[in-house]
Amino acid sequence: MNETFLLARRAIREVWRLPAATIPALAIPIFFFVVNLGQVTKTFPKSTPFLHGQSYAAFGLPVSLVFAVTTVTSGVAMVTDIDVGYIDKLRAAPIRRTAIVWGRLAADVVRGILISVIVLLVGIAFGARVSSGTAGVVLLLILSTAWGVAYAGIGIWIALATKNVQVTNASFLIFFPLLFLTPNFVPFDRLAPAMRAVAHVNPVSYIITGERGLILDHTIDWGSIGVAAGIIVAFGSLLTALSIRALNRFAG
Amino acid sequence: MTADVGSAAGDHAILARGLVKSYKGKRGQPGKDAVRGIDLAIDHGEVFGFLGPNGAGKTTTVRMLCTLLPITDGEAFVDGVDVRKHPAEVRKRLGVALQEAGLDMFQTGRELLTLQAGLHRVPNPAARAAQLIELVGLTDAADRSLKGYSGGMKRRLDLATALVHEPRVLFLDEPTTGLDPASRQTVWEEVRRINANGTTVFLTTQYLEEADALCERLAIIDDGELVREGTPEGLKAALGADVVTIGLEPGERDRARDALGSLDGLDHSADDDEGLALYVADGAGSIAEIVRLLAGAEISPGTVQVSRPSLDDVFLDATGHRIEGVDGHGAEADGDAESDPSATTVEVNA
Repeated sequence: MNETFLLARRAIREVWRLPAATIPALAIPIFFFVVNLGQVTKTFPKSTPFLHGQSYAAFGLPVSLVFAVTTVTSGVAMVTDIDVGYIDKLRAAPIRRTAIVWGRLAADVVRGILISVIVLLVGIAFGARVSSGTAGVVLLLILSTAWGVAYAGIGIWIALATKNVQVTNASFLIFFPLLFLTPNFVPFDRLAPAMRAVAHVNPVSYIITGERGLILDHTIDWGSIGVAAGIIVAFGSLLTALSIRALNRFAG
Repeated sequence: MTADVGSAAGDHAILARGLVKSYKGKRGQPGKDAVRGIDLAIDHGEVFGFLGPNGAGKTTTVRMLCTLLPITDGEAFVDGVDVRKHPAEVRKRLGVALQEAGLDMFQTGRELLTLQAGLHRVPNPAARAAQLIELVGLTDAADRSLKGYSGGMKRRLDLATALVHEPRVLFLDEPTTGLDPASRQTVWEEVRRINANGTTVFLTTQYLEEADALCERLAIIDDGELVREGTPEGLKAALGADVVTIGLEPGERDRARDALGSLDGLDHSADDDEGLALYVADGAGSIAEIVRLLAGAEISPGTVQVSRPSLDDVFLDATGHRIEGVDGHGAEADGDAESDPSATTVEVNA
């Protein structure tokens, strides 16, 4: 059996055995989703132009999807392997070392699908509809999961580069500017000029707007999906490359 | 200390020439040489011990030989393969259990072993895992999460993970540190059994008793350098027949050494943390004269202890300090004389 498959199976097993690592990732975005709805539903009724006839739940859902999959869980798992010394057992084995990174990312695929499906179901329960239909649902799940996998590289890279548990744990803070300097609450054109300028250069904005298009519009805007996919691939490739470089330079 | 490093790498299980590990200093601090030019020549099928206190460079050497740490200078071969040039090939031939049993706590013992066997491309990983579980006596715990394993169980499992592919060379870094005596015995038996099947074992230890009990040959390492190498018996025999250790007040050591210069049968003396160690032909027969000579110099020793030379005495002779108590570890601070069944100890309160 291939080493990547073996290490992926081990990492995926951990997703099931350690629900404490996944539940907060799920609970916090759902909490904010529900609380935000309570706060703004009256301010933004269905007649609000940018809601395209849906409730604010539909507008907020992509933010919650992106929020939920944006975790450093794999980074924490990696730094735990480093901290207890298990990584040395893997590094001393005759395997391609890249498999150590790929195995972790495989767990992010499973965790990403799991979390995206649950958050999507919560959104639907609160009245959101995916206007672009089944294909839109599939694309929504793929984009969310893929973004989660790409973002996981941040935690993995920081874990391998610093070998420090506290730094890796704290690296989740990076996601705050990435996630909230975006048109997460209102569209681009409703943002203050300075905020809009920042949101326009923040790549995460386009993941959110790409997903939002799938929910609010009846037709799939392949241009937006392409931009979101491109950002995910670029972001993921860069972080995976950095992680592999850190692993190759790793000298415990 | 020089080993025979002129011979071909393939003739040895482990061969190292001038092995150096240097760490660069950070923020203007001076750098540190953790290992300073070590030569090793270990034959196939040997159990070779690396004895030294904490911080001597034992683990650093093992990590370099196992491809886990870049070698700063020098060269090393494991089973004839160049560690620097062909690390991937070296990894196929070695098994390693490091000091802290580094295990993934979210797996069961069986899963961990099956994974390790799979990573080493063992034909039937599940069957190999089952075999090793039985071998290290973890049958009852095999399907439990590692979180519930005791220190001894983890160590045995770690040892088993190092054996999945029947390595040619097995590295064990302090395999029994922190274990209770019964678990220690179990690990020793396992090491002997592994070695009997033809695997070369390179083990590091800070326990003199362990080096004595397990190793055919050993090297003593202190501050990054090898200071003695040989068989445990040979190293001890080289010191002379007996060791008389005299407890002295701090200021009395030089006067005592002068006073004892004329002692019959004295080979040489060495400074001990507590006083002086005298290497003499007949320890028990020399006590009366030692006490008399000291009395002549108006020194009354706190204690006089006679023992056969232990590896600790070898260590003291080579380095000027004892290995024991270096790390303040209670278990080995008791002294080799008490744990070595071959030692005859007479304590005289003078």
